[in-house]
Amino acid sequence: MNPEMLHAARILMGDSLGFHIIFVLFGLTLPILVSWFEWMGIRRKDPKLIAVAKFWSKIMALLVITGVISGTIIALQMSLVWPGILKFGGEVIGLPFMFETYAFLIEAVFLALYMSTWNNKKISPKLHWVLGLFVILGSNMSAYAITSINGWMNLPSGFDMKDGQVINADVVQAMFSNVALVEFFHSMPGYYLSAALTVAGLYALKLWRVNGKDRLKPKYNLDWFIIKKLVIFCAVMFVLSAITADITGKYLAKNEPVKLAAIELNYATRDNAPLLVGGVAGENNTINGPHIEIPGALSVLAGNTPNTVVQGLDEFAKSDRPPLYVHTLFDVKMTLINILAVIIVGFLVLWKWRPNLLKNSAVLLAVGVSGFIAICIVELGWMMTEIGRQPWAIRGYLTTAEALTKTHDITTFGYLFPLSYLLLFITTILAVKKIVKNNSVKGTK
Amino acid sequence: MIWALILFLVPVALFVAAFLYETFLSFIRLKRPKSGKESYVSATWEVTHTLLVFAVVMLLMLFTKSIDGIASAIFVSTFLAALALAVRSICYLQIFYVRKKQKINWVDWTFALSHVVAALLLVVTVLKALLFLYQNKPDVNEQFIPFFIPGLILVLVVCFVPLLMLYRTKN
Repeated sequence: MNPEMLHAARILMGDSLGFHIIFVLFGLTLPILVSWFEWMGIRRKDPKLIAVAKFWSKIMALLVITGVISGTIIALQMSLVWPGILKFGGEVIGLPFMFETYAFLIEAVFLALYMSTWNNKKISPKLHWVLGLFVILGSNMSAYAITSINGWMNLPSGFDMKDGQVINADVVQAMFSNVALVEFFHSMPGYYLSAALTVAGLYALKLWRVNGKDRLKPKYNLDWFIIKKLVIFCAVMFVLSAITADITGKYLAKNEPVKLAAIELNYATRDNAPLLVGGVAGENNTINGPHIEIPGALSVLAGNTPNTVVQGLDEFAKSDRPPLYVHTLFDVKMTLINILAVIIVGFLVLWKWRPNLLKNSAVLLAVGVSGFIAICIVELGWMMTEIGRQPWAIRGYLTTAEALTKTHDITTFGYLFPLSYLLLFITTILAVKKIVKNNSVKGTK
Repeated sequence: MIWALILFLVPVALFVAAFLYETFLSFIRLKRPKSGKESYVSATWEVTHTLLVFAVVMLLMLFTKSIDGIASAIFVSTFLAALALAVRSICYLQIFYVRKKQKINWVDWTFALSHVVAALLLVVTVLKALLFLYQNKPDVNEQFIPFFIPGLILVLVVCFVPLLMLYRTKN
């Protein structure tokens, strides 16, 4: 295997996933936000809220146009660049791929119908709202199917091995494994949080650009209403993310100990294992750079008590270890999560006890950038998951190098696809700006 | 084998019909540009892509034991088609969302031609896949079919009327 080709293929897949995940976030979250505001508008008989829902739905449809094409490209890459994955496990894990097409079809049909029936007099507002629920159903089913495939790659199940061949394939068990559920319920709140915070952030930035004295004028009441509702939504999602993160930590300790050891840079198997903050891997199992160790915290994370024994990197051959820079990714991710927590909690505290301070430029700017921070957290989370599984494509069975196509050099495509993503991204941003300019809802609430 | 071919070829046929319709409209609008999106079937954009993904997934998931050979046969044409579809998306966004004046220029021509290029490459892909299946007669992952067919019928029942409505509307 040519290492350069493997490297190029990894970069291509990483670029594709990194690009596509941004549209996944919005594709999953905007239908929920749109339905929520449409429902509020119907119940309160408030046309402004329905107008907000309609405005967001236009952006949702636009982002789908881009997301569909990047999703299609990823489906092709997954099969054609890494045929080894499906050759090994296709008869076990093929079912979620097939079910994903159901979900995709439901989402596509009902999204198109939803968008084309706004203000249609033959369809009641409540029926229109119900059409939106099918979009939510389709997008989340699709997310589950894809997440279950990734979960299976992290912890393969639902089959036996005999003479190097997969036998006794249990396709249902593979699709609904514990790891799939853990990943799904940890990912979803994070997606909802990051996309909702981005939307709230855009409204905050809009107010930030207004003269400070004017920010509390009635004409901005609707913007404040949206920001407050979305920050509450984000706070709930943040708590759910934290709970599921704890479950994920325990799952990793039990099922993917080498990944946890790499993420925490835990070299030795021990109880009372410390949680490392900062530092990078050095030569001969050392830690370089400024860092602190919180005694026993990793053991508590892994098993709720300091007595829990946590497996270290010393139990795994060097060739089976992932790149240790995943620890730095984790540190950056945790730093960003803490910043996000301060912003969300700070906003809610000010709203409750010092509402006048909400119009402060620093507060609005903090909320404004929080969406970008949240998207970075999601990207870092996926990088840790994928890089943390290396050198395996299907952990314990098939390495990434073995999974790569043997017949074609993908280096050329490795340049062409990222270029097309860049152009798509720029055009999408310009298109969103145009929609915002032409459709934003103004007025009191 | 017969079920596998049906599951692959039916979405291909539906995709070809829908895509040719969109190709036709992309050229028609070069002569009769209208001001808005009514000159193109934006509502069905995602549905048409879904049919393509459906066909690809069926081909690859039902024949995973021979995926090396299939992937090798369709690799170049499929990736080039994907690039053509990406170009089509970029042009679509530029024409219908970004630019101010609906005046025909090279972007519109690129948009229309990207349909043709993508369609030709996808036809090549399907023919190569069929040739591979004909020559090699690979084993089918039949264990998926009992799970898949009932669900497919249910989904088609749910989606049939909306689909019909969508392809009869242009915005």
